[in-house]
Amino acid sequence: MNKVKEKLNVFHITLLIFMTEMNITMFSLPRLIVENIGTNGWIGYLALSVLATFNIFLYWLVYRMGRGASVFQIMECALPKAVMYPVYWALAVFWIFTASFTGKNFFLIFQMLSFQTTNPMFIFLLFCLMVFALLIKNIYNISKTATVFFFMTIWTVGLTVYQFQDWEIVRFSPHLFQLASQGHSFRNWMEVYTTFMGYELCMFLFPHVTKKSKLFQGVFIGHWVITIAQLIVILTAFGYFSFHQIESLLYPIIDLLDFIEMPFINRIENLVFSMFVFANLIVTVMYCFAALTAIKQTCPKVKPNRLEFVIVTMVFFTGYIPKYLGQSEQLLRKVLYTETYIAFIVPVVLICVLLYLKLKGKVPNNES
Amino acid sequence: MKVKLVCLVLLVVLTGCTDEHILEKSGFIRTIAYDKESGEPKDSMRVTISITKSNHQDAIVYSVVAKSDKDAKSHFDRQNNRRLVTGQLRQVLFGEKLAREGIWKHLDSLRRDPMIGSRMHVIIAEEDPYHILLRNDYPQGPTAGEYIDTLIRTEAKAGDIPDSNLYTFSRDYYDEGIDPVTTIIREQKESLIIDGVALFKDDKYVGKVEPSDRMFFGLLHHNIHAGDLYLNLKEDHDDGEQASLQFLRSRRKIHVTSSSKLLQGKRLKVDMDIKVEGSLLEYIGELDMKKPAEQRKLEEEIRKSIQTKCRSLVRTLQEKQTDPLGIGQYVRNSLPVGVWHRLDWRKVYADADISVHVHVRIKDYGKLQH
Repeated sequence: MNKVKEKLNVFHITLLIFMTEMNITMFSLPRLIVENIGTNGWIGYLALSVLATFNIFLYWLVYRMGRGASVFQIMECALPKAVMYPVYWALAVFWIFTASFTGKNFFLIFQMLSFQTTNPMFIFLLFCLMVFALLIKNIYNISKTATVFFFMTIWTVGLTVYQFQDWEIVRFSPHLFQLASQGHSFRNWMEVYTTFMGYELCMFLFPHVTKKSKLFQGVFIGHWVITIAQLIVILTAFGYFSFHQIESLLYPIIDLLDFIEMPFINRIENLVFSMFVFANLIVTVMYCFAALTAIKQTCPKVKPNRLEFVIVTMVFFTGYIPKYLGQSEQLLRKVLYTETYIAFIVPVVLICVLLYLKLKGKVPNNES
Repeated sequence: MKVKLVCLVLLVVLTGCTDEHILEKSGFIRTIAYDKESGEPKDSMRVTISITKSNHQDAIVYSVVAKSDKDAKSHFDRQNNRRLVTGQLRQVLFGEKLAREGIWKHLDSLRRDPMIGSRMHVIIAEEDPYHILLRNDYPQGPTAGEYIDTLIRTEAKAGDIPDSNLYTFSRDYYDEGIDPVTTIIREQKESLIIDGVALFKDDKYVGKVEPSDRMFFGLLHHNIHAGDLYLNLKEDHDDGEQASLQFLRSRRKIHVTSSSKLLQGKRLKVDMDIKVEGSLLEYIGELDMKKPAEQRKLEEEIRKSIQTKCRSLVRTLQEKQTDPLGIGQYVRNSLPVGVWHRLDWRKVYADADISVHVHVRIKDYGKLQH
């Protein structure tokens, strides 16, 4: 029986991008904004989201100019495989590191709240099993899982109503971008920008969509839905905490949850934070998927599930590198900085290659 | 396949077994008290903890003179046969003497503990907090910790006292242009009583709002949703005209009317508008509540009375150079950042011209016509 290859649709793409952008930096986001942008930093956050939209626009250009060809097809049309393969391998290893550091960071934070004395690698092993279970499925199934996980996490934005009673506009300031303790610099603003990382993986979705999929409509909407969801949380934090209080908190979002008290339950941060393991799972899986796609390009004839197993094993063992929360935060910051550069460099290079191919009269091979 | 599945299920299910927290083997600290007695060395304090027993009727109280929280904790650990945990900590009490030296270093270590919730009440105890916790004969609650928790929650909900917890204290301590406040409790023969609001300068206890003034302070400090206000309309007369506004709601607004040239020594001008509405369920006096004109007159009398009280309270706060009302937040927002940071805010605040304007509206007069 011939399997019908399912293609992604705009709804699934929207939610997949939403979930991929919901990375672990979200929990420290209000602090990152206060430290790096300062007063009314939420405006800076919006400006950075516009910049990310521009970055997505670059990917759209690549998609349009390449007529749906995958990034590998575009590159291999211009450069020999021998040149490109080491680049793919390097990128794959980098994405494995990103997946691992993101996944592990979550559990190191989790251990601050629960399971303090359990070996974090043991919990991480279970997490890696879930990553493997998802990775051996195709992107269509990953996106369906992301849709379920979206509905399991999106309701948490509604919890901000609990902060409304203590929310005061006076805690905002009329001054723009003042008192940023880290000072204003390209690098510091980029630290806030790293929270958007995830949308760049849309470049690996090119072979899995048709024109009907409206890929970029989904990516743009997904990006702006997460921007708005996070903006609601940021504005809540800015009016609920005082400016310097946010600076003092490692994960202000966990402290927001801490205050919520319902008649039947309080201290719900333990419960709600655990729900974000699903968001974290999608982020980790998507970076593994990126690594898998890159490696598959170099060795397409490997038996099913072998590469997935190798990648997840590498993710697990890379997880031994960050042992402490501070160290994990630093490593995560480094990979996300690099990922930001990659997110901008890749479409620029691809556009240049496509222009060069156009000049030469070549068309990338678009066979999937 | 089945073996694999069983292994996977076992792995997932048994993960939790590595980190056990057995309720029966845990000692839940309900209250911590820090205190300083006269004659104690400068670098030491008395730390007292109250642990609710599993029958929820009794409490175990430990107390020790220690140099730090951790020092005290290790002492308690050596005495208690259950593992001490802080997840159910509901309040921290500070003795008056210790509070005058500053309480932030103690709160900071409590804030760091992820087990401790930010709703934990921060309270100043006028009497010996050790004795407050040691007593187990309050008719109002099974243990002192439970009693204090419900007492503070009930009063704060009505708006009589500001809800002073770890979150509000940290928020106002960190913010520029506002000082934190906490509730004061005092021990009586058969109960504990809320004895006003503690005023702080940064983290140092500098004075109190008397319990009789706590509602006026509430009107100045926050929006009240369901309070009761008892007024002696003519305190200087013997005829004792009295009114009581119930189910009171209030809304306050602060306007900085002049903040220019503060660095050159010009006086700061601030207007506070407080709108009050409530039901008049008790009135002892000569006015006839049937007549609309006299109703207006009563509103005016109530307005004047509240305004006088509030103005005098603001003057007291200015004298103590403490700004729990957050006037500084509005001034800070009206000035360039550099000017605010160069300002000697405490001095400017103490000299400021702060006017309080009260507007009163009586919603109804109960179910009788007069």
